[in-house]
Amino acid sequence: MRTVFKALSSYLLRHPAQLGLAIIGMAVGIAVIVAVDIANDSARRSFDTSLAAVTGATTHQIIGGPTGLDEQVYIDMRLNGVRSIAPIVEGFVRVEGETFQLLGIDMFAEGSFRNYQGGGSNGDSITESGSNILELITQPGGVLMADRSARRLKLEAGSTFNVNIAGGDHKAVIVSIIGDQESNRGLDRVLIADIAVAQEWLGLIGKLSRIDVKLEADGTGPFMVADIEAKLPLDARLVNATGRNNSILEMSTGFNTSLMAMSLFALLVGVFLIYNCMSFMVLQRRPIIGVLRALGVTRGQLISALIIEGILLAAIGSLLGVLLGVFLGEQLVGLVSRTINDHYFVVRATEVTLSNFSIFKGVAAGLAATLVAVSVPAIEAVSYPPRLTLARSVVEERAHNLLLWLAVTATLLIMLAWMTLVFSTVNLVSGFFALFLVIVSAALLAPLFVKIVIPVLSILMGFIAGLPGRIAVRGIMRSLSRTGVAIAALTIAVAEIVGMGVMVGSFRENVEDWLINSLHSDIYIAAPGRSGVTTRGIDHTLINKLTQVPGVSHYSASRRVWIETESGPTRLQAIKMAPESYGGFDFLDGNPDDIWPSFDSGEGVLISDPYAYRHNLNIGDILPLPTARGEQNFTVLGIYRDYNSDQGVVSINRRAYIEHWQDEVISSLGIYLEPGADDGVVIDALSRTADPHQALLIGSNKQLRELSLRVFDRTFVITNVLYWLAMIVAFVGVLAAALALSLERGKEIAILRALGMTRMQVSKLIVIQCGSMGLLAGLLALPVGMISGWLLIHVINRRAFGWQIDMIVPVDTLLSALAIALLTALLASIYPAWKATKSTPVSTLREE
Amino acid sequence: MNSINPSVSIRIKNLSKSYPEGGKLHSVLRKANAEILSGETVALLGRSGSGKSTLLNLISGIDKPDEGEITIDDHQVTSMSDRERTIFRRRDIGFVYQFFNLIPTLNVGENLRLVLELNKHGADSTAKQCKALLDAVGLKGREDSYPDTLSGGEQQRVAIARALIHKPAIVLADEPTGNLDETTADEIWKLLDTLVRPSGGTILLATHSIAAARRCDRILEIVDGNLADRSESYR
Ligand SMILES: Nc1ncnc2c1ncn2[C@@H]1O[C@H](COP(=O)(O)OP(=O)(O)OP(=O)(O)O)[C@@H](O)[C@H]1O
Ligand SMILES: [Mg+2]
Repeated sequence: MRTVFKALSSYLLRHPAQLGLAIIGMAVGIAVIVAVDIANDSARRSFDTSLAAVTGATTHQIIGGPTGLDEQVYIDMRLNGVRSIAPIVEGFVRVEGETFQLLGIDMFAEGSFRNYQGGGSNGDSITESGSNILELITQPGGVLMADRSARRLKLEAGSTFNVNIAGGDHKAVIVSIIGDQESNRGLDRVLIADIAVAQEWLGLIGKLSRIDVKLEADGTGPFMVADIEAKLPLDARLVNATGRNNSILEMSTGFNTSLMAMSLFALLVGVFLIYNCMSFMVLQRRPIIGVLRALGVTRGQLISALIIEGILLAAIGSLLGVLLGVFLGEQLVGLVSRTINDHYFVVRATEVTLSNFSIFKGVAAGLAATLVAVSVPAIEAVSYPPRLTLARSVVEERAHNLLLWLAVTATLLIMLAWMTLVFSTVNLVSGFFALFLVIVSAALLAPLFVKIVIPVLSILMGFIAGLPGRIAVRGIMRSLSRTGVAIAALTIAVAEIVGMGVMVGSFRENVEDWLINSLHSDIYIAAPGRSGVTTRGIDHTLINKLTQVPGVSHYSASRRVWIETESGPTRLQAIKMAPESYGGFDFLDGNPDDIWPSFDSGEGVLISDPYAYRHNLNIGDILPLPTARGEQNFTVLGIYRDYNSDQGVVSINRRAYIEHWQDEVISSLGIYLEPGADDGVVIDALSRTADPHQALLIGSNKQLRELSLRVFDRTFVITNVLYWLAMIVAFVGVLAAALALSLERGKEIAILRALGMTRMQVSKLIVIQCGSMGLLAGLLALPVGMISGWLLIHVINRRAFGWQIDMIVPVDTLLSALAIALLTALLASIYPAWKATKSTPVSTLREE
Repeated sequence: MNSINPSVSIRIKNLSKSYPEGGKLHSVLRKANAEILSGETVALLGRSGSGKSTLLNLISGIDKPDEGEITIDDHQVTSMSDRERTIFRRRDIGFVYQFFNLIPTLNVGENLRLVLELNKHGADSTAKQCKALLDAVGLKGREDSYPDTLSGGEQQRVAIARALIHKPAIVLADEPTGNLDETTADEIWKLLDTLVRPSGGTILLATHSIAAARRCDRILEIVDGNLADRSESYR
């Protein structure tokens, strides 16, 4: 057995480049899946730990309406003897360019809620050591900061620094550093201040963001849920803290799932690559296998030798893959958290957490792929009588007979995909499953496609490049058992590029159109900060001044808030319409002539398409929302196109909003100019008016549009990164295939040289062969990519995010995908072509 | 300047070739000299490993000597560039390799056509020539077979047909009849006689068989890296 092993493996060792590529290919494939998993996991986990640290022992939370809770609610509850409650004022602030969560607490109420270990010599928790508490209250601008944050910002206890909130600066001083214990990990990028300080800084005098409540596990305790609910104002609600945290986390699920799915596609390409390399290695050793069989080595012995060898290689590949994956994951975490920050919730920490499960997934996938890749050709190779094992033509004949079966399988898979979509109309995972099936069947169809297109290509290449052209193209066909898999792998990678390109391109154009249609006002003015309770809005006196600025004709105004509904936080937008605003709504359902009069009279609400999709709402349905006067029913008047938030938005007439929520805050203005007024001049005048009063964001229509598109593009950076990774995997695949082909062709090339082919002609042959493989893959990838683009748009995006996008076929994406396929293949051919010209035919010819 | 005898087809002068083997040089040819005239059929004898194949490779320009010159029909092969040698080889030399060296991914017909196409022959004449030659070597109707489905002798015949198809001035054959039964070997001989000789082609044929060598005009033998004319001693 040992000699058998040696006979087989010495071949691999004599071809280190090929062996290396197989291992690299496997490693990159595994790395991608590990990296995405790590990135997803880390972003979630850091959000989780910071939520947990901030939530502490809180079991329930009392959440107010859009303007927060009145302090009086808390005081009344205390006076009524409700204990185990703690008031919280929170918001997001900037410290030296980093986003921090500012948590205003009442030291005396905190008690058993949170436990911030002091970093001082005694290590006591600050809520127990009196001096610290007092300082937090007595020291103006006193805050606590986690050890990690302090070290990063090079601050220490006693340091002073600036806290930037909504454009204004406040002086803060670190009273104490929170120790770096495990339980405090989540407090990185959190500033803890006294509640009065936080109220002042955030402009929430007399207000609370929420009240934390601690009840016994079963909801009983000294005070029952019902007792507390009875004492709440009408627009406040008592919610389960864990449930609320989950529903916040839930928001980014679609995004995370998509990322995971994309990493799976990279893995799929990786699997093909591994299959490609490993099966090549078995195929190339057919002659050796034939001789060993003839000498009396049993099938079982051969198969197990090959499989053991495969597992060894997989082990090396996995090890490298995991290392590379961890490294890549660290790079991706930033991108993932940025996207989550832009669209969902604030992820503060960007620490990489490495779970065994991420690693396990990657390794398992790699191992499974290797096993299949080795055993299929191994079983096939030993299944012939020894004499036949030697005959090349038998192998190719079998490969050609297989084409039909592959095509039949592909057809069945496509039907399965179709049925999946028909029977499961909302599930995201089944959407991905269908997409996966389509792509796999494309890979299965690749050899048949090659067979059909080759004759034409052969004539074409013969015309362009003469004899080497024809020999090259026919070589692809003759070695279909080898070339087919490489072409399939490249097809998948390029199809992914096309699919994503079509999806992102269509999406972007839809968003651009929508921005043009929905943003009518000439100048936008907004109060800085994330929308929500903490946004102080634009001062009303300032609004009067701003609208008096010369050149301003009229304006629209809006207020965006989060309200707490049964199904988690909901985004509510209150609008004072300008005449032009009406045209900005593109109704997907409902007649504008019926909708507007009802909307203007405050009879109901408009909902954005993703909201309707997520909550399964139609026109005329009733949407209950908690208002200052308790829960009220609102009729859905219309459903409009909107790409602001994949969670969806509920829009309401400003007058109705004030009536229901008693909140007059305006967070942004849309300014319309007098005819002939210059927006640059007016923006200057507006800034001059605003500056002495309040820091505001003022920008032209064009600037806002550009900003929105920038955020959009940023979202897809990670997508791009992932598909380029898939492309790298595919490149390694084609390179490995090109190398293996030329290795296998070594003899043939030597004969061609001996018969009188020049070095130029031989390298031309190799370049043409690879180029043709790239071209074939590119051509097949176009229709497959378009189909996956369609699925991504109408199935995946709809199911994951609720977006409704019109598909646009970007011709430049298609052309560049074709070019990428071709270039990848040509690039892969350089080394083998160079190598072929260097080798002399003599020694190759000597071997039998 | 030496005047070159116009009737000399292959002139070998002080030819040396050695291969590195286990750290030192293993010298195969040592200042070998020979002249082969146009239209001659010359047998090349020598023990296994004496350098027969090496010499044929050097003459065809697949390999380069360490020292010495090879001149073929006034062209000094040893001073040509790789490209020149390649073009010279494909036009003027037909080579029957010891191990056939057919291209496994091309069928029999294509293996023959390849040589013609390399020399840019027209397509119609090509097809006809291939058929005729395959008939002649007794492989009628096997155009579409792949090399690995043929027997050793059949492959050898294809290799011979491939060496002759472009009517080269010089045919170098490395054991062309080694794998064949007597009758077939005889046919191959007749083939060489009818296809190469009338057009004045030169044949250099490496063989182990004294009987085969005796059919030739002259016999050269490689002994200790030198070429010796043994026509007389084997008669
Ligand atoms: N490429 C090479 N590298 C190293 N040694 C070589 C090479 N080619 C030939 N040799 C050596 O040169 C010597 C002559 O080899 P060659 O093939 O010319 O012999 P031959 O006369 O054709 O033998 P046979 O009758 O067995 O075919 C041998 O000892 C062989 O080992
Ligand atoms: Mg020999």
